[in-house]
Amino acid sequence: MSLNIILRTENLCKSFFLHEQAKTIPSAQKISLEVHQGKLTALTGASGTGKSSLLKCIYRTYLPTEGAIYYQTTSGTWIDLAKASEYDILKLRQSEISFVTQFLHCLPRQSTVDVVAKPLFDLGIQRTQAREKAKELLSQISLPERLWEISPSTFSGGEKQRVNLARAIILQPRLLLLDEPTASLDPASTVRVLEMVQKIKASGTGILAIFHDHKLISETADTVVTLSSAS
Amino acid sequence: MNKILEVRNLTKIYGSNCPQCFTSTGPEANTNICPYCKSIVAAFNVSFDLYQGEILGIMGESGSGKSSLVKMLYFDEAPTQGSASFFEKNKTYDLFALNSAQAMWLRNHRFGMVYQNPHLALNFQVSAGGNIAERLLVSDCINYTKIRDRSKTLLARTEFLIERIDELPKNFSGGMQQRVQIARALATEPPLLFLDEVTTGLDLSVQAKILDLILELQQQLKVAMIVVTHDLGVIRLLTSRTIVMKYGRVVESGLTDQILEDPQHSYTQQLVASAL
Amino acid sequence: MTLLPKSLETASTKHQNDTSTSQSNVYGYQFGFLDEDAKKEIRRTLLKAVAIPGYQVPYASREMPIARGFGTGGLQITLSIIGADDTLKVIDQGSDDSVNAVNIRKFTAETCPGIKLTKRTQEATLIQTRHRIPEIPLKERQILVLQVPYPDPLVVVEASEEKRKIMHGGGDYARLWVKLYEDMIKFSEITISHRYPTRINGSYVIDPSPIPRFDVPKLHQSECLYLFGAGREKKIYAVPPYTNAQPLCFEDIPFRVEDFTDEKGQRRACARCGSTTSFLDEFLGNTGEKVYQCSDSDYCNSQLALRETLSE
Repeated sequence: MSLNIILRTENLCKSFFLHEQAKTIPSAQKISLEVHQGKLTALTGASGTGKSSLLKCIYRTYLPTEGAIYYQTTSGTWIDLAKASEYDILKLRQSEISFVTQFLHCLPRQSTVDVVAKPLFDLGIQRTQAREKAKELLSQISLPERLWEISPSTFSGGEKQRVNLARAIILQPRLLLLDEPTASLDPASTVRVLEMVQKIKASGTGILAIFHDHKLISETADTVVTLSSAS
Repeated sequence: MNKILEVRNLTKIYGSNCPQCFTSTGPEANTNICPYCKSIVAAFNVSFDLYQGEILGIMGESGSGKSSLVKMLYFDEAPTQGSASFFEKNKTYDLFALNSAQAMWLRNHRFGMVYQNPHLALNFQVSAGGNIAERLLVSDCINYTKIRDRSKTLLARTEFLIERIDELPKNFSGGMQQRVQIARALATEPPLLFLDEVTTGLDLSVQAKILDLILELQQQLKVAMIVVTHDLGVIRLLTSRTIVMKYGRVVESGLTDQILEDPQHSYTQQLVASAL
Repeated sequence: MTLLPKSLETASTKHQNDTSTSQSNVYGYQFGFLDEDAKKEIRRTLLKAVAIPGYQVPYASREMPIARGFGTGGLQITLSIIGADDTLKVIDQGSDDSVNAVNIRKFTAETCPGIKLTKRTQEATLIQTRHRIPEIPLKERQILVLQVPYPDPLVVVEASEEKRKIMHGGGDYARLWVKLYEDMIKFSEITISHRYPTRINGSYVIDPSPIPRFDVPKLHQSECLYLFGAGREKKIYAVPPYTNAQPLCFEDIPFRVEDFTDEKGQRRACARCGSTTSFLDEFLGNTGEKVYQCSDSDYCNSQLALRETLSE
């Protein structure tokens, strides 16, 4: 049981300053946690405690206000994501860190295969090869073949989320951030998605996830971090 | 990924220029016209980097200076101050130190530009294919068949109807004119492409197609692009990094999703909140 | 001027002394009609033009006693370089006898006393021509002066002279090439019949004046000096001897000249001298039928004389 830490946040804080109203809205406060290779750390807490903000700060969609986010890249070097250059963050997003929310955001008018293959296209992998890999992955997650060449915008919630996850993992990321991936799904779809999550864990990806359902947490989490407003 | 363009302190002033120009204009002053000498400070101290194959967005409303910036980099206008360097393989070009022949060479062989108004780029007296041929004819190998074939390939790639290759641009719709512009801009396979409000004014469905085309081309050709626009949707769709300009200054820069979801500057917050 | 010691006498002062002592012309003008300073400026312009083959050198084109558009540019060059020992031939569309050629020849003879006149190409040292180059290849030490209406080949694609100068300076002839491309797509051939743009010495592209395509190859690696004068447009340019002159054409579409073939594919012959290699004029004969005859009258005469000698 190797405890390979891949992510460690130190007193991470996020607050928003709204110029128009001249108000500061505090969000995540002094969060320190760890994520390990092949293990899932679950984030829980009441709403408003900054769970989503935390994930977004790691992915750099939000700029952290204070604190550090130490991440170990595949090559072994440590980098503070809070201070990393935009260029470095983009590179990490391209190959090592993936983010999945409860909604599938994809380029409109793209077929499912192309949506899933996009991270490979971006890396410069030859298109036919990339699409082959995408198709392999889609069959692994049991997405019916008749859906492959059409845009996922018309799919059911469950199907969309499976596509969402497939796209996030096609590159076998080192770190996967999940923001309530099953929030709008029915129980059957939730089960399917969780199966995928277990497989991802088994392949060595470190996961930091927000689940709204305690049952899900108990099934998948190796560590649980609870955020409170006075954390 | 290597750097392809480095812009430092680029400044453009239209007018006589006085010592108070810089301090009395900008986002805080809410103007880009100097109250003392009436010069227009179109851009002031703009700096940014661009890497090979990436799409950078320049967001701003009218008067932000975004178009002036691109005009200077494409040698349509001379800067008042500042520098820009273009890198390729093992060569560095100091853009504003080049003489006009060198600048034209770079412009014709290494840069591409697509304007909002096709009249600025296309010759309306010449057929669509001829417009593309013009860019190919700047080089020395002049083979009619090869040039014609290449024009056809380029137009086909922009999903332009090949049967209309010999027609004059005035017979085309706005979307088709833009396609010809894009094909023409890519004729010499430039590593850097400037796109200045290319979809503004087009019908929505046409806009979508052109944007899809731009994305596809970027993926296939790995062209670095600077996309100038006031449309947040275009920024979100195309760009990975963005700089936000107001009255000639850069007020914020960062990853596009961060700019759109966690804007720091008051102006950016205002812009994002104003999106329909 | 008489203060200069004899050894420093310039050619110009020599000339002036000549006119005062030898026969002055009827109207009291000095030799060559133009004053010496005007000639000097034109000669300097010519030297520059020869030094930069194909480059249009601007000059202050003087008022001449013939109107603009009738060869004042060519005439100014001729008058600037002609000497009393020169033999002059003047042709217009290949003929020594057309009105303009006759007038220019007479005028030059009257203002340049002592020069010899000829209709024979081979005897001339200086030939002024409008719109044709003689059939017989010219030799070293012969000078051909061409009359030019529009010196700039780019004038068909760009109206602004400032922009044209920049285009010439940058070797940017793309828009000229585009015109050729557009001809190809519209007509499947390049439709320029005369004034065919020609690249000189791998560098500047010139308008070789309204000579037909047939004559353009004569500019290439020729033994003689070609001088081009545009009086109205005030430009002079040159193609020096042994200089490359390539008509602009696509590498896969060869440059074609007029072939003068009839419906049966046979090359027409001159009705007068029988030549099957010269440039032919077409006109209507007395009974309304089409007649083809050599444009170069001296060439036609010499061919005719040759034929008559051989048939005797």
